[in-house]
Amino acid sequence: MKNFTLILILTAAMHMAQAQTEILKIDVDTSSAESQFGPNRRHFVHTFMSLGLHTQIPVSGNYNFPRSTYSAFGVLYKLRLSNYFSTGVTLSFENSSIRLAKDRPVTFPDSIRHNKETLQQFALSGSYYLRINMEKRGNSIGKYFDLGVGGLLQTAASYQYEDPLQGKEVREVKIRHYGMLRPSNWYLYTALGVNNFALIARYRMQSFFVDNSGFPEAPPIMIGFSWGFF
Amino acid sequence: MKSLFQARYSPILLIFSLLLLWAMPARAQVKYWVFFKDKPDTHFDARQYFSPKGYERRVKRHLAMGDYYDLPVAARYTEEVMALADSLYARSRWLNAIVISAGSTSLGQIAGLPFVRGIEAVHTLHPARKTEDSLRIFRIKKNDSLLLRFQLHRMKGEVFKKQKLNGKGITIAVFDVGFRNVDIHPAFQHLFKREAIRATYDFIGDDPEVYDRGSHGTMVLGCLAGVFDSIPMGLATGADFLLARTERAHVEITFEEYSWIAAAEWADRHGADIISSSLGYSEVRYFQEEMDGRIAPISRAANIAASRGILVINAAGNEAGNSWGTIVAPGDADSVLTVGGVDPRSDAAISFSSAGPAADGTPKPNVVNLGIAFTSFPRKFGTAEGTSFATPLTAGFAACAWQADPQKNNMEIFHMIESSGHLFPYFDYHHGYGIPRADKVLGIADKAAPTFHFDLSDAYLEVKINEEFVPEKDEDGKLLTRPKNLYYKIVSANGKIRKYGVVLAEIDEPVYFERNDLKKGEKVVVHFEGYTESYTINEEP
Repeated sequence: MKNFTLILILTAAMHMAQAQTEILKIDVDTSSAESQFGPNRRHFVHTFMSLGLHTQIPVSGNYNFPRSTYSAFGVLYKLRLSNYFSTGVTLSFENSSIRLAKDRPVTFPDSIRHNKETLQQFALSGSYYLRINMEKRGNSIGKYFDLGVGGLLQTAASYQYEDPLQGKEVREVKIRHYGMLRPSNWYLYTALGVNNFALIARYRMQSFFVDNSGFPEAPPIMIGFSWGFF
Repeated sequence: MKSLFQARYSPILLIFSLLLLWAMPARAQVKYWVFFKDKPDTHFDARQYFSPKGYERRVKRHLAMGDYYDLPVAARYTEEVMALADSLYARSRWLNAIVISAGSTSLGQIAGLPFVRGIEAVHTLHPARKTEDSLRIFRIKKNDSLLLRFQLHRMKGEVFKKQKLNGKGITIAVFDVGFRNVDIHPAFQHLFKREAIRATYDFIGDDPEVYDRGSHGTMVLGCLAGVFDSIPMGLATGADFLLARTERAHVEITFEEYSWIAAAEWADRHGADIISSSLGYSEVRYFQEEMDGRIAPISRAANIAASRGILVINAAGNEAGNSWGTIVAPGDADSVLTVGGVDPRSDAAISFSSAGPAADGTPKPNVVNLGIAFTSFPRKFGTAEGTSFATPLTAGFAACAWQADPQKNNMEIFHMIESSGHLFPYFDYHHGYGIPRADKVLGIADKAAPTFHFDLSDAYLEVKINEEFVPEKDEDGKLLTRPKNLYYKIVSANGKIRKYGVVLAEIDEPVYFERNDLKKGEKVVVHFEGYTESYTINEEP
């Protein structure tokens, strides 16, 4: 009855034995099943992309974190509980790029003031969330508010810096398998969304760096937006 | 673990701030329907409420005046609600409701008032996918010229012309997103010359001006009453018009439904005989299973409009190619004549035309018309695709049919149009009863002679086309005439359509149905070249 599929078949149809051209064929019984999948159906899965900024507020007095960015690409599953409540999980691959600017001589990551200094972390991330939806709606996401908790598992980390040399030349150094970043972490998560678009925020619950006294702390808050592909 | 709970930026503060930012603009705009249980202490003055034309229409069509739907919303109820609410936006006497904004505490109090039947949120802003018609603007080419002549000929419009039927005396209300340049477009100058556009109103902007925005209405009106180079593009060139802007382009706002309802009441007040609406509402607010004519307020209002003697004609929607697939509201209402689209090249359902039935099983669409039409654009003429254009073509047909038989009421015209479909009595969920034909609605069509016959064998039920209807071929086997469509459906013993389709009968071979696919008690119904016949399976294969 619903979701009719218009099938334009230019070759012989299954139940037509001869070569008359069938230009429309509808099987009402098979095309009328109510779908369990859709933005506001029982199950919904879609991919998403997120971009954000780590807050630029210095958490540790001797460091600034200008233009520290966050990006992620992942998949989200939503289970509809009612018109107003749903729950689900996300799985994503993410990157945090933490820019360092040292105000005073410090010892971490080294004691030199570099022209440009970046810590990169790639991670697999998963989260569980509860969603509150607003208003009656049909098969669309509508307005929502998410609260969630998640964890990440580092897959790669690096530390890189640039220093000026003679003239316009620069020296770039990249240290792979950088061991000073915490290999796993967890966070609280929230989102305010309308259909495909959402404002997102994350609050990291553990330090960015491994537990060694004297290390600074990177900003725990990330604010950004997310775009769902559906 | 190094806890960051001691950090100076608390996540609670962050969440609270974001929530506030998100909620504030939404709260400022949310509106609610408040439905009342009855209409006490109200009275109705028909001469004051209706325009002279509206009053005349009610009298002429022997329609009741001052019944429940005509009575206004009770002033006392409105006052008591407004003592708790923030703002009053609108009233609907048809739905016995008002539209308000109010805080959540007040809403709770309003819901508790003894005369309140229910509250429903109205305003939902979604930058969501809309059903868009596809526009192809060409210079006038040979194909366009052929289409221009064909789009009226397909309804046997020349029969109406011969009988001087052009919708004269019929008032058609057109609801759309705007009618840009209609006032200066050459296609419509004949309407202004005889002052045929009787009233206009923009229900979105609350303003009588409708000619400054939105192109879609210009195109729709072209298929109703536009003229290109002295050739009519629609059949209702002699009708009168009410033009209402009820919809914004590019965003889907549920409040548009209220605008449609307000426009329908306005059209009733101004004496509209027909509403031609090429608009529809689907998945932003509804599920397919809610398309039963009773859930969407616009569908309920459309049925009320029909009860006021108005013939409501609405597009089926252009949803066949996407996840929605089916009819859009208010096309789901049983008293709305819902119009699907066919491809003029194949004469079969065009790929995007929404399919029926309504969720409650009401057969939809009722009829179809060309889903590609030649029409007016704000600054030119061209070709456009969509059931939006099949709808005004049909509304023009309805105006002529009603002019021919003015004693009939709206639902009698509704059924006359259905039974004038070129496929009638054959019906399926893509083609309805087919394209209305003037000769059939006027009762002057020739009775169709049998064009095929059934033949049952052990393995097959064969449909053999009679020799004179088999397309002719030349010596090389090339077809000399265009092959015709054969429409078939298989109806279960309980009366439900189980399968249907269209076969292009281009070779000298029967159309076969496998006996194994046909159950006892099922009926195979076939339509070919104006002739419909059915075969009931009396025994298991």
